[in-house]
Amino acid sequence: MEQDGLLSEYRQRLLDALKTHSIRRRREEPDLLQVFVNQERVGTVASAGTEPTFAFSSRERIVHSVEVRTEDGVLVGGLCAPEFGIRSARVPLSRDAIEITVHNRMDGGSVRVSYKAAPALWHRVRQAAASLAFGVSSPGPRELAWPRVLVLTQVVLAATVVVLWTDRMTGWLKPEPPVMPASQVSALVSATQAHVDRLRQDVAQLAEAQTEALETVQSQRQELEQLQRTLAAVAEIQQKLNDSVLTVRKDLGNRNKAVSQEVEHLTRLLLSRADLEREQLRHELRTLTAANEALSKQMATLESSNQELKNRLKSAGVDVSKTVPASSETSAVAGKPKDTAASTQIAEARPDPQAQPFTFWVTFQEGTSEESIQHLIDEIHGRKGSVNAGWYPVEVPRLVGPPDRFLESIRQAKIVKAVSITRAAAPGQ
Amino acid sequence: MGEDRDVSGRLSSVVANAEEFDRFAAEAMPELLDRATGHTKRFLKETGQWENDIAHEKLALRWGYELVERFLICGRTEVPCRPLFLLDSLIAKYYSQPDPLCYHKDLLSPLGRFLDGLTSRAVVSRDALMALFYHLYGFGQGQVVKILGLGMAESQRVYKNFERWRQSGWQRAVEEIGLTKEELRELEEQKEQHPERVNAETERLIRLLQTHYRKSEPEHYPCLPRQKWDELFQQDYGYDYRVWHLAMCRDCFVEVCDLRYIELNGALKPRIDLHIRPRRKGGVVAFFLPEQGGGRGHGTGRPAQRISPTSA
Repeated sequence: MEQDGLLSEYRQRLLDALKTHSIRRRREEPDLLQVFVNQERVGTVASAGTEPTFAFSSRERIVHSVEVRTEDGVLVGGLCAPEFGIRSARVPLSRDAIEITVHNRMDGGSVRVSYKAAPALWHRVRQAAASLAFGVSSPGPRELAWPRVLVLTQVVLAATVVVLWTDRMTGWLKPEPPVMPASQVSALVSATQAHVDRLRQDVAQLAEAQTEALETVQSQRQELEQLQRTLAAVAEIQQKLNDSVLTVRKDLGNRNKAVSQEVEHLTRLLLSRADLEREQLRHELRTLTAANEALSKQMATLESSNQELKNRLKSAGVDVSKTVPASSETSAVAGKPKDTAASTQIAEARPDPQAQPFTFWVTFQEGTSEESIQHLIDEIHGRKGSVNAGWYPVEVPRLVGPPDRFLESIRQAKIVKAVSITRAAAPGQ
Repeated sequence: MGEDRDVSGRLSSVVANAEEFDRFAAEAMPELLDRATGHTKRFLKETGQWENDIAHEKLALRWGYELVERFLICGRTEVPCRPLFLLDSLIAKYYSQPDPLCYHKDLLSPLGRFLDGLTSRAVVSRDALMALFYHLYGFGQGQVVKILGLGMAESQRVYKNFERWRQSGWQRAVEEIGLTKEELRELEEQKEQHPERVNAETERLIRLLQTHYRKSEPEHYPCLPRQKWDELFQQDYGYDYRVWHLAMCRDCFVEVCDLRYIELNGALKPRIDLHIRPRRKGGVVAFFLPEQGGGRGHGTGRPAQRISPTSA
């Protein structure tokens, strides 16, 4: 129960505050107004002349609402913005006014708030005088001018009629004048006639004025129609311009897109070409590596065969000199012509034979003593091995001179029967 | 029953112009307030934020009042219209925004309501905004001018009508919040008996409120890093920025006080010290003359408002 009482008291307080605010709004003469867009304070408008207009624009959000508040927070004006397009409002504020304009577009919105101070007294008097003179149009909307002129003309006509009627009535209501002399009567008649003529002239002038006023109204109507037509044309042009801008934007977008696609395509092409070339280079590199390996293998094979040929040449050289018949040597050499060529090459690269122990086989004349044999061996600083089928293997650690000459000198010894450098070539083997 | 039908018919009738709208609004004010309150209640119920107690009822009434105030202004520009439908659409549009109300259970206590009302008022009223420095920190004009580094012209501008807050602004804010005299007295007693507890609670609640209401700032008024604040004070610009943001952001205020520790001679510490009632007139501290880098104001002719939006 107590709570209900508290609530109704609070409700009543809020209602009073709402009423107070609406009264304050009408009387408010603030020097600074705050502008809120979408309930966010965005700036101020000063009524004192330094900043009478405030402009705000948002590129991200459209404007939903505009509020204008005094510095102490009293809401004095506002506007609910449309989803798209322009809306404006004029909020009276004491004698002055605030003009709010909102423009919402696809890509955001803008707000313009202007403080319009009321014109000064002398300015208003001048305006009134100008409007009375028919010549000067008021600064208000043009469409409001012709009804004012019409009303004013009617008022003037009515006033004239009243004046005439009063004049006539006063003439009737006056007591019967005393009989006057004919000259006086004629003077009076002429004066009345002059007065009537003047009135007629006034009426005629008024009629002319009315005609002029009507003509003015007519011309103003025509001007208004023309203005409306112009406005419609301007709106149409603006619409076309907007359409053109949109088209240009689209074209630009498409062109940008095409250019970017072309660039992308070119880049891809260049990249693919580079990839291809790289792949080719890799392939060539692989081929070269394989060829290199094959060459290395061939070289190794050649080296091994070279070594073999060298060994053969060694053994064949001794046979040629003494034991092996010339024909067999020839056949042996002819059987492997390549080897001969190879052996020539190897001979060039042969290491110094004197640096190595030299072994040969020797057989002696029958009846040669062991002492003589040993003496010969000692002479040549050799070592003999065990005899095998009459052949003694002899090893000389270091030859002095070429092997052929050495073997020739051995053969010339009286006790020597034959000499061979290979065991296989030795007789009886 | 017949009277209800009359009211209903009157509310759904068409008004043709602004004068008719004003007449209608003046006559149908209670119905409009009840309707807006009803919509707010429904919104709170549907979003699971309603409880049957007087605090929630007052919250609904307060928001109904705010919405009717906006309706009374915007409606004049929407004529010809059916005012009731217009009110409904305005309310629907408002509540379809993200996070339209600052709702938290702790804000329904007398202290929470007081702080909520004060902060929401500060969003629309510069008097209330400047008063925040006193109600939250106990800082008067002199201290605020010194901390914010305002020049003489700026100081006069922001504090020009501060007397209005003392005379009527605070009272009106308290009335709009719905705080009773008893609640105010209890609050003051609590503050007197347990100042640390009340200040700690204030600090907790004020962060909730400032986070919500700071969204009312323009998007280009975000929290700044220390270096930027330093630049702002050194290069002497952004007065509106300082006033609006530092009143509504405790963290930045502490940062700025720390930054200006030497200029402030270490005397002004931004500790929360809740003051329920506005400062008495005699308590205004003498005006500080601004120092170098601490605000030269408009008086020097230097550009003082680089961050402010465009004005023409």
